[in-house]
Amino acid sequence: MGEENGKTIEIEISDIRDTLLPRPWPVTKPRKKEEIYAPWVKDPRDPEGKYGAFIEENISWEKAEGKPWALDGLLVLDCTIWGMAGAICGSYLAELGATVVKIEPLEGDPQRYLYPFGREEYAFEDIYTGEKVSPTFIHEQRNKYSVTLNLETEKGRELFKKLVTKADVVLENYPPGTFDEWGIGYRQLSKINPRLIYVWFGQLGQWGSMKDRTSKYGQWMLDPVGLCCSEFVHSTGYPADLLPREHGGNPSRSGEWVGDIVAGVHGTIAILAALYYRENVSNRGQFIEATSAECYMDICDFNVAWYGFDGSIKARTGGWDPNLNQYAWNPCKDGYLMIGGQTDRLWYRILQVIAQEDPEGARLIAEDPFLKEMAARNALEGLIKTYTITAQWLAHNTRAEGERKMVSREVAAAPVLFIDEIAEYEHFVYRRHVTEVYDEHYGRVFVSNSPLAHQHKTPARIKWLGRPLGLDNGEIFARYLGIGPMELKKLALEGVVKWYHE
Amino acid sequence: MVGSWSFDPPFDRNPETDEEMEKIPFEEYCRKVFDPKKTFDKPEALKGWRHISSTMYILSPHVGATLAEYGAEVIKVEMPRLGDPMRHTSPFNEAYLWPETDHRPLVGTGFGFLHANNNKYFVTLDYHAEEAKELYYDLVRISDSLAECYRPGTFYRWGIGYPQLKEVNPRLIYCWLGGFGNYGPRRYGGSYDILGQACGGLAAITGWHEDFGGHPTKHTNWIIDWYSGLTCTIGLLAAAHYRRKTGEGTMIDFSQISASTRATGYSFPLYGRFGVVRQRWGNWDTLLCVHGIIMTGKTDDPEHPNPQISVESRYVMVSAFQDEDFRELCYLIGRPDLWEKYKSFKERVKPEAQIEIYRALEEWASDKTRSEVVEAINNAGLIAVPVMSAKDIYESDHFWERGTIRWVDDPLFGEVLTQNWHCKLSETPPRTKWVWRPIGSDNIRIYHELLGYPMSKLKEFWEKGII
Amino acid sequence: MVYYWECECGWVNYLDPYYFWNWEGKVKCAGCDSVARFRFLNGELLEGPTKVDEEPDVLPLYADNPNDGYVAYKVGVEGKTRPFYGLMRDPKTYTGEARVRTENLRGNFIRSAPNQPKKAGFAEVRRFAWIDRTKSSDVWGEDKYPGKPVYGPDVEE
Repeated sequence: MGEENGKTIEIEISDIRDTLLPRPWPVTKPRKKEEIYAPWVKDPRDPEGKYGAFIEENISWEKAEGKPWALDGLLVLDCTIWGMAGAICGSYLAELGATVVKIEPLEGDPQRYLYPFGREEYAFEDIYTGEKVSPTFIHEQRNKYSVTLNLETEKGRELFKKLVTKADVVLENYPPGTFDEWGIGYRQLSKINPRLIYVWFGQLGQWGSMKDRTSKYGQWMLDPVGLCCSEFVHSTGYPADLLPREHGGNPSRSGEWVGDIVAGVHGTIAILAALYYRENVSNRGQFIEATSAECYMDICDFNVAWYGFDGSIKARTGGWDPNLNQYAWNPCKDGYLMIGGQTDRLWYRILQVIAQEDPEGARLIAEDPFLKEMAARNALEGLIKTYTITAQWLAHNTRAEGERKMVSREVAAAPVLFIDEIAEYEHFVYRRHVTEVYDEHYGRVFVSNSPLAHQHKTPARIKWLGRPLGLDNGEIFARYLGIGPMELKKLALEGVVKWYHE
Repeated sequence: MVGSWSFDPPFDRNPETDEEMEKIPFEEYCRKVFDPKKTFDKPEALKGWRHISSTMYILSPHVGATLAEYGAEVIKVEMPRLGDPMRHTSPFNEAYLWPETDHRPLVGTGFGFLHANNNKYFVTLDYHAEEAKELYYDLVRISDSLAECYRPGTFYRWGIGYPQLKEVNPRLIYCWLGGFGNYGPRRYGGSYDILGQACGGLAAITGWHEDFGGHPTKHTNWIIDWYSGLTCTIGLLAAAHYRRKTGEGTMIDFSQISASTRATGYSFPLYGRFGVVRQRWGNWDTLLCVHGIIMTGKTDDPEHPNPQISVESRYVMVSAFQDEDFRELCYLIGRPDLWEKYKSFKERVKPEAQIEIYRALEEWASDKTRSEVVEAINNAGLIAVPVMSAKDIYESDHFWERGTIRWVDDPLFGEVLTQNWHCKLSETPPRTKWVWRPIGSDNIRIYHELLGYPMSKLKEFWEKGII
Repeated sequence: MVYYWECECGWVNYLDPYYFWNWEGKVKCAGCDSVARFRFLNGELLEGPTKVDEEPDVLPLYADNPNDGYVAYKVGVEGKTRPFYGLMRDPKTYTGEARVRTENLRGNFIRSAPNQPKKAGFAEVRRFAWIDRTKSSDVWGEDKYPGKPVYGPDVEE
């Protein structure tokens, strides 16, 4: 149900086809700028509104159009398939302006055909050819040119080498040694182009006793293999006495392939650091290896260090954080509300809010001598006591009420939001954390925006989404290899490239 | 300037001239170029870059820590005496490292502070004081980048916001990191990692569905702090690349909630086009099957006093999603009927099929230990890995030989086991030199030795409580 | 009075939210061992506490007594509170002998804590009570002072 042009429209979903009808977004328009920055809005840090005006004028996503690109002129060859690490890495580079060419095998990256629960109904169709592609691929392969090139053929590798002479970065995630065997590994490519930065993404590594391997039928290792080997899964989830083991009380993986995502981000930093070193010092590229297990282990707090400290193995604590009090989400009347406030200043403000409705409970916390000090509150008993009393308050508050009451005292609080609620959350709509992209091939697509989209000089932007297979063969082969359509057709017959049919 | 430095690598790593490097097997080659023992023989990528880290918690300090691991000189500015609140943070209030701080004389700094503050120099400064502003300007003049995490407009009110600092140093790359960003209706809301997880979308898709009895599950680590810090570092280094060409600094307004939203995969296209709200799907995968975590009946060491080993180390990740793999797995667990039933990839990934298949797997594993299950599946030529705890990682050769975990001999704290040797770079690997230092331990090194303030002046600041 | 059950004996039993949110059954008070029946639905208390003379289904995770200087039962005290499975090491370290010296995995000394009451268990955990600062080491040595936390029923040796 939404409002458009003053009249209400209703969408009833009884069939899969109904979902294809155009739906208004956002259903509720965010408030206008004038209203948000109105003089009566309490704004102690910026009473004259100068700072707000400066930010709106310079940093806002609305001003991003036409600004320059940070990585303009960088050529990246993205040969990754299946996994998410290379996809994320390439997308971040491409959103910042690099020319990223996604080189796919003739049948395409398998990621194109990974539909949620195998439901092909959820495919996006190319308006011109009807070619289907999965929402994952659409979302993760942004601003990339799509080229098909069969690297298993001699001819294909020859063309790839010619491309590499002009490239700055190569990304790949084939099983260890595959590219080396094909004669296009770092050893060989760095001779053609010593300035090349070559990145391999994987789960556990190209070398070492537990390195990446394939099954005997050639199946790759994919996320969450790396997550399981990084200690993350072991310590995520609800402990078995809060939920029975068959009903969620066991270790949980992340909903998304975050091991790959983190490896992709870490790899991107490594690329940019190597680029900095190449440009300023050595004039030479290097070989980089980013694996999900290690990159995720890096950000897994102090877990391994703690084991070295006294042999403790971090346990699961569900929605609570064992390190900070308060810092958790707990159930409330209509879902879950997250409240955070560790320092005395914030912690007692939370109590003040609770005391308005439950003075008895608040007193139990406020008077307890063991809860008077910031760190002492983190003891397990402190957590149990604090969260039990907070949850009692929550049981009588909805997410929205709780959030409003906490935020009015400057306590950080936020509801656990579902995907549809995020799509309509006023702040996110105003800032375009989620946005609609009008793609030439797929029409209106709703996506999450790059977090680097708010910058003064070189914001990241989405130009297009995952492209149909081999769409840019003509353009890329002509620009970098001088191969025109006639020769391309010949190559297609030889099984080296695939033609994009319109 | 490009390539003109007298660059003398410590050993010949140039594959062009090294005959031997070309012939050896690929794995040997990797061992050589990534050898963790040679880390400190190699140069640092970001040498000469200076970064000010006016930060707290994990999100914004991690930007500086990452730069410092790659060789930048990072100055962490803390409030006098109190310091970063993360210093007082430790799981269940248990793990602290000496030496003591002014604020908490008996305790020391908590493990929550670990990894976000590697290799930094620690100074103190009370921004509220008038003299602090000039001091801060002096630091900014000789720095390349800055990260801060105070609520929007706070630095501006103190006279050190981006509009003012860009006049002081137009080349400065200024990163603001926080929850809701510098503009928008909720810009004054505070934020934490868990807030990003909760309202950014990651919580909505992690954990078991309520039909299975589950709740939205928090990622155990502060993922949205760490991962957003990394993402902002991408922006910073890309801006550095741009600055090299144009000489222009920039400001990055980074919202960690946005980073959480970015990490939700296909959720938003699916919702936008089909109106389908993605839900949690526990330990299984929505795109592939079999590709999930199962529980085995027993642990390898049921007598161990630590429940994490005796009770909890009993999970295995099984991956056999391609047709042949799945067939092999079905025969292995003695359920060829499952293969007959779910021959096609598409059929297997359906929710009903997944429930049936994983239940069958768990049934098969119910009388086996974790290592028996992993062995049986691996011996069949398929992929399975145990869900590893910190102990398993500590005892695996793999991560030791790759240098992923390492005992750092910290000058102040003694032996600290670190886990943050993330990316392998052949020429300029990242490295950890020290894990952290006490509050204000580098005041003299920075204010006196770097900025050249006389000691008498520093004493005056000290007495006024500015540093 | 939904989630913290203030028993007539003066003890407060904390019924933690995730376990008891949708729950029906009997809980035993840690202070006076009386059993009461509760019924929760979506966090609302529909029934209880109704005193019954039956065996309990479950124990609270934590209980303390505000009228007696906040003496408390930590988790996992036999017969009083139930053990928490989310512990990082041998649960006995929480209720057993005080640990004042920490060594790392290689056996090297890391840190130590000041003298603790004998049964303090994991010494660093709850040291910041006001008593910590006001009482001299003589009192600590005697292990007797007002408001001393109770680490189990057998604390008086």
